[in-house]
Amino acid sequence: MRKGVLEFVILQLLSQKEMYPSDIIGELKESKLIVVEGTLYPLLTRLKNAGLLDYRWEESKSGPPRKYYKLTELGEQFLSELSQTWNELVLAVKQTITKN
Amino acid sequence: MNKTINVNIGGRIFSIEEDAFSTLEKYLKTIRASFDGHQSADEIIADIELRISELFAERITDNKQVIVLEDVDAVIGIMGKPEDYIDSEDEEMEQEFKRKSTGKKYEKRVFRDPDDKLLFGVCSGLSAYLGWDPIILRALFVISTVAFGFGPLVYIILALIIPKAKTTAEKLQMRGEAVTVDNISKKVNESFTDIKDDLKDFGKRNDISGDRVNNVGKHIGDVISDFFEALGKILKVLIVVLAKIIGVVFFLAGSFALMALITGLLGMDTFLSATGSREMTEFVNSTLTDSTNKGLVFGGIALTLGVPAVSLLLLGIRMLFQKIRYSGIVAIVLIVVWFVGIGLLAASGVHLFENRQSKARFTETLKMNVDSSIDTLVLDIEGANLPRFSFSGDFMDGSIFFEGGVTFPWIDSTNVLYVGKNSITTKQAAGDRFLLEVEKSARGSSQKDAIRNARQMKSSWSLTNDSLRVSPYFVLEKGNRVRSQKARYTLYVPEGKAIRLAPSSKSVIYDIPNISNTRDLDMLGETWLMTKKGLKCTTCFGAEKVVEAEEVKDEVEEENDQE
Repeated sequence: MRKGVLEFVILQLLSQKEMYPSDIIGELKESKLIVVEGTLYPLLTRLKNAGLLDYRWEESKSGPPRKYYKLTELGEQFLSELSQTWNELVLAVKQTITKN
Repeated sequence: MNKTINVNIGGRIFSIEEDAFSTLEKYLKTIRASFDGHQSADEIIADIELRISELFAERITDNKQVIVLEDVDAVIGIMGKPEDYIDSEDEEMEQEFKRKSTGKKYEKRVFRDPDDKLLFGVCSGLSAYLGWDPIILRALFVISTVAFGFGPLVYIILALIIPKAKTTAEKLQMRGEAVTVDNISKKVNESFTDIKDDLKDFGKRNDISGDRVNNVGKHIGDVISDFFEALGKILKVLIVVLAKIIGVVFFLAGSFALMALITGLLGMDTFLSATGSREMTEFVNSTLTDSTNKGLVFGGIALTLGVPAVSLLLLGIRMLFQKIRYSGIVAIVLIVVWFVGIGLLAASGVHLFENRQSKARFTETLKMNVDSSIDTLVLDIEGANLPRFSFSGDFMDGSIFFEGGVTFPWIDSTNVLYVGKNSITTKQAAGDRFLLEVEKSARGSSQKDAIRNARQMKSSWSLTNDSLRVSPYFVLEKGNRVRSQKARYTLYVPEGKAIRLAPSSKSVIYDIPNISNTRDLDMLGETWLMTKKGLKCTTCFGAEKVVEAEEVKDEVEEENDQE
């Protein structure tokens, strides 16, 4: 069920602003979409490898530099497609539920 | 107080307690293994380490400078178990994970096995790959070395070519076991028992990661370090093999000695006659007198010889099977038993001595009637065809011989047990008649016993016309005891009469006094007249001239030598 949703949410989050993993984790934890942080790293790497994400290093005041992720153009395209699919899905589900 | 280690995680330095470190290291290893082979593994790991370092940093305060086990546990709780890292959308990773989980179609690879190695782990590694017991390949290797000689060369080449299984994943691959996360954790757990080792390993890996180019060098370094380890092992094996060989020798020697001893004692007579040594049998029987003494001697021999044999046997077993250990009681018992044996032998010695403590001697005048018309009595030996025994040793005052086609005219030769030498000397007779006396002596437990023993001697002499023949030997019949028997004849020669010493009498005459102090051997063949002063040679060349007689003596000696 969560398949794909996590990516969708991450893309959504990154479309609003650049974030580094700890920020993303904070958001995801708040919405209870993620339980352990380890899941996030392979996922980010995959999205980056797919060309949907990009990152840059930024100095940190307290510690080592951080990876700040942002959406690429391809990522934004993919996100809008995903949003559309999502909306259709949500609609379909709603209709099914209200019918019964 | 706890030891802490400084580690660099994600570019930050942390002081971390040892147990916390080992847990963290294990965790990271497991994670790393689960990404093994993934194209972005390094990147993902780096991200994870970065995140862990952030989490640690949050936990460091002014009051708490050190990362402890609870911190690591908490961070692992936040980061998740290895399975949580699997990105279900990533097909490559999904498949990889599934393959690792199920262990199917997993490619086996040849590694050298560092955990079960004798030298370089080539045989054990290959065996793990083939699914054989390592002993088979090792045996083949030894055989190929002994039979064809190419074993070591092949082995060295293989040792250089085949990489050593270093990581847990590699060790699993070597065995063809599934490289699953579970398996890895299990293996890693096993190998994390020794923290020191891990630390060394950790340091080494860090060093190497700084110099990745030198992979080949690293491999050679591995081989060299293995080489010295191997050399030590070869020496160890050689020493062990040597010990085993000595063990086998000891074992065989001990058991053989024991068997011989048992056989010998169980059937001493049978055993002795089997060796063809009837002398020994008869000697044992005739010397040892009674069953008490026999028991003492046999018991003593059994214990004094048996204890060393048993010790040798036990020592051999101990050397062959190192697991076998004897308690000190065994040694004490053996020593005590041995001393008991010595005691028995000593007792039998005392007994034997008691049996011989008295010496008896008596003289018999023999009835010999020499016709008064005979002026010269010829002294010869009886039975000139008797075998010439050699009385070289002085064993119990004589030697033991047995019948073997030897016939003694005066005795049933099949019953002969012991042969001793007779001797004869001369004295001046008080009257005008030849007289013959024999003095017999022997030992015994008492005077009476000694006399009885002396009387057992069987000897013989005969007189025909002018010829006195004395047997050179006396014998003891079977069933009698050998107790230092001696027989000595004395021939009394009256003044004015003479004796002639036949050449063959040389084996019986002993210390015959004469006025010219001629030695026994030089007296042979001559006629000696009894004068007032003693025996005087009448036939010797230049008998009157003592100086010339010396020369003649030399010639006679030479002749004797030529004989």
